[in-house]
Amino acid sequence: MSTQTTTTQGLVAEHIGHHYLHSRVSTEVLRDVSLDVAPGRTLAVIGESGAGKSTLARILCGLERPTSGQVLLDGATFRLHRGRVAPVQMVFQNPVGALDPRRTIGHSIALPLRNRPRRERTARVAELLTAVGLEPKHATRRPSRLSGGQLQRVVLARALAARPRVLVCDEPTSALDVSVQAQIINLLLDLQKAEDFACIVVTHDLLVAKVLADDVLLLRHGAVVESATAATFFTAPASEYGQDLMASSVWTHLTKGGS
Amino acid sequence: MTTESAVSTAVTTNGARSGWLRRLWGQKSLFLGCSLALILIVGSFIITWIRPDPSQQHLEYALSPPGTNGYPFGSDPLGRDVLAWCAAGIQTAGIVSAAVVLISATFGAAVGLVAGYFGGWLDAVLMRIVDLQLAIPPILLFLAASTIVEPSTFNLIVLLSIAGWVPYARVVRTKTQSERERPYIAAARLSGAGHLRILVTNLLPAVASTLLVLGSLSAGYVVLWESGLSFLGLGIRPPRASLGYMISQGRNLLTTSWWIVTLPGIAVVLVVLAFNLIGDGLRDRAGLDARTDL
Amino acid sequence: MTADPALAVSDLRVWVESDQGTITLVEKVDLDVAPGSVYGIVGESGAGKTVATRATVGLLRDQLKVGGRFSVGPIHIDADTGDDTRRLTGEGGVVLQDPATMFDPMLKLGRQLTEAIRHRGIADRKAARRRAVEMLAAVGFPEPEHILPLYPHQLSGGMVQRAAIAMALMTRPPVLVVDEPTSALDASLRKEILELLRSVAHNDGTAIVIVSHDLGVIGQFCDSVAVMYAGRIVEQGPTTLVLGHPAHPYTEALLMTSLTADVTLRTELPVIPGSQPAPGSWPAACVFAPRCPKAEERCRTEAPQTRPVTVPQRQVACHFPLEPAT
Repeated sequence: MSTQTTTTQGLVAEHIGHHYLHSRVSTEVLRDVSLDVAPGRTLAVIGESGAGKSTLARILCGLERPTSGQVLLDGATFRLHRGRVAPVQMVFQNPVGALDPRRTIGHSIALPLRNRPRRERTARVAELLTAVGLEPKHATRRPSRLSGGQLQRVVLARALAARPRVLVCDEPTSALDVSVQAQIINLLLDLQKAEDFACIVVTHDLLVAKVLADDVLLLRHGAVVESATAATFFTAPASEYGQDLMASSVWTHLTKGGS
Repeated sequence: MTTESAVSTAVTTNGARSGWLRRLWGQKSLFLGCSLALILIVGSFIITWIRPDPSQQHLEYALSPPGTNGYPFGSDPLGRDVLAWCAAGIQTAGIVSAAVVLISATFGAAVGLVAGYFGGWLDAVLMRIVDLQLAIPPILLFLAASTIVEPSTFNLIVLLSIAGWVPYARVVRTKTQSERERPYIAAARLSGAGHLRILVTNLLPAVASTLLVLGSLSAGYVVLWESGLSFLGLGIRPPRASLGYMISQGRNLLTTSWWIVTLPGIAVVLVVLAFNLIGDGLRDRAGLDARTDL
Repeated sequence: MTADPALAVSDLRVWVESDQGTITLVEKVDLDVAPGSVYGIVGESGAGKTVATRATVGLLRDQLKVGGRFSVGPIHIDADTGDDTRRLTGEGGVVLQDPATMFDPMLKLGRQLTEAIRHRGIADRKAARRRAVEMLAAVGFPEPEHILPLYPHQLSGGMVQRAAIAMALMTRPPVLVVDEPTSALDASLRKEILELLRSVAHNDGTAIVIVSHDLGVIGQFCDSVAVMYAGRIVEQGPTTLVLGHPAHPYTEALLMTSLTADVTLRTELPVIPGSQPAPGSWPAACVFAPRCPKAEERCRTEAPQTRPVTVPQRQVACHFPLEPAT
């Protein structure tokens, strides 16, 4: 169902299925989901709540093992190894919970750099803060002193510190203000151009997907409904569900035209 | 500052004094508790320095009322100085409760962290042990223990710790379970942190304030248990001074020599009060750190 | 406007006294909401929209002080001459940002809905129950009698939202304030709830005030809109005019930086440099001047007055509005 030739580079998910067992009741969350993202390209996984998007995001990072199917990174089976810095990093929806509130920003960003000498760590933290648009002096501050937008930049800085091959973003802007959302979107676009990582953006917001994605994967109740390039999907979705989603988006009529 | 923080500074401010003294005064419980504790500690040390051996008997001065024969608090049936005994007893109560709280908090926190973080069969096994422990009434445990081992300060501390670790484990387990789900823990895993590192560096600090509050609130109970058991003869015995023991000495003399029961009794109340005030104050402070709603 | 406004606010000011002195959260807010209309208040977090709307329904914490004149239906309050703003509590209906928090989890829904009018002595048990059924039907429940004996946790997110709206409408308030009605909902549910609110306005004549940071919600469902920035209204008027031809540079910048349907794939968005100042650090004179691409010397020294632009119903607080002043 993929619309581009599968490459061995980048992230590939094959026939991912997942269910939860709770009090002997099995709930299926994902069913036969396959996708691939090449380095430098962005895939948007869209769908409503309950579609299984967040579970998929966790599986792609290796935080959870799928009950069936496998994830491949650069051609090899991918697993999260305890004690090793992961090549697939994650950006979370709520930046406030994504950082240890009792530790400084610098400490959190330097987490993937633990094995480096101290002087190198400090320099790299300053470098990363600048790359995400923050002043290096923020390294000694606690998360409570920063705004939501600034915190999300810190989260990005920490992800970058690990020099990831893949970045998985779970609703990266839904907790942010409108003007801050634009800044973070721009930052994601810039960073991807500079670092060339594969990017997966999980979102319920069609317009976030539209501005960020090269390709689109539409999920519903854990199954893939449509897989297309962003250009195709946003001009004319092939599936009925896709068309319904586009129609019910409250934004469909408001444009910047006018002044 | 944001709208929320502007509102919350107005809400929690209590006047124009600056710095830590003002904050402490704002927490009246904490302030009173700490002051009381300070008075008891300093007072007891001064008294034990002046009158070092409370178990010394002076039979010729037995049952002296307070203020006679050089006994400000009177003397007991064996001529022991009640004031010196109270001071030493306060110290004993303090040492025992500090030790018990430390041991049971450490052990309970360790169990709670492991059970809450790993879940699964480990959690199930540990929680069954907790259930077993809860099924045994403490007094039975103490009675049974007293038939096996000789009552002593050390044994009492061990016994009270065994009886007291469970609440810490449960509270820490619950807090760990909720904290474990937060994204920064997942981020730590992705950054290459192992289980031990996450437990010690991230989760332990997260439960620290809860432990502190629980510990200070429990300390009062430990003092009561120690006094009660010593009263029954199952706890601390002379020459080690215990407030409960002195109370038991005077229980048949309540109408004639009231000071033997009443004054150590007041000492027990003061110690427990100090711990409770501190515990309440800490708990209120921990609650204030939560976000305020507009 | 021929009819009396359902909600009229004049010179609203909200402040708080703290160690650092007086911190103003909202000032110079004027609102005029006609019955049966849908009025939107849009702005980013920290702009003061929640504080301002809560003041109009008497729901602020005691530490927050309120000044200004209020008219909610038949009630008139002048806080400046000492009227107690707590009289406003309960006059306007309100649906909070997280509607689940409006319900007591231990009580059945029927009881909570009827209590809204019973404890005020407006109706007896039977009449209250009839009205509860009527309101639940009006918000779209197909079998309202079956909802009454349920507990809040038995309803889904969208249903709780509807039930909260029903409860707020029980007293037939002249105005209903809804705070971020859709941020917790999916796209399809969002549309349904907003259409429901619009039909309540048109059918019952209840004025609806929607507070939102989402320009799409405001643009599609509100007749008029007020744009708030740093504690005050920078522009207000009919939605089609304000969003179609913004007069205040902030409104224009907000539109440009927002994700609208015509956003281009994989292209950077315009951004507004800097960030909104927090209460306590508002610039003197024009609050938007430090970030405004059209700011001039006058903007930094003289605070702009609110004046009409193009049509009388439109107001702008700007020295150099983008649309010609009348």
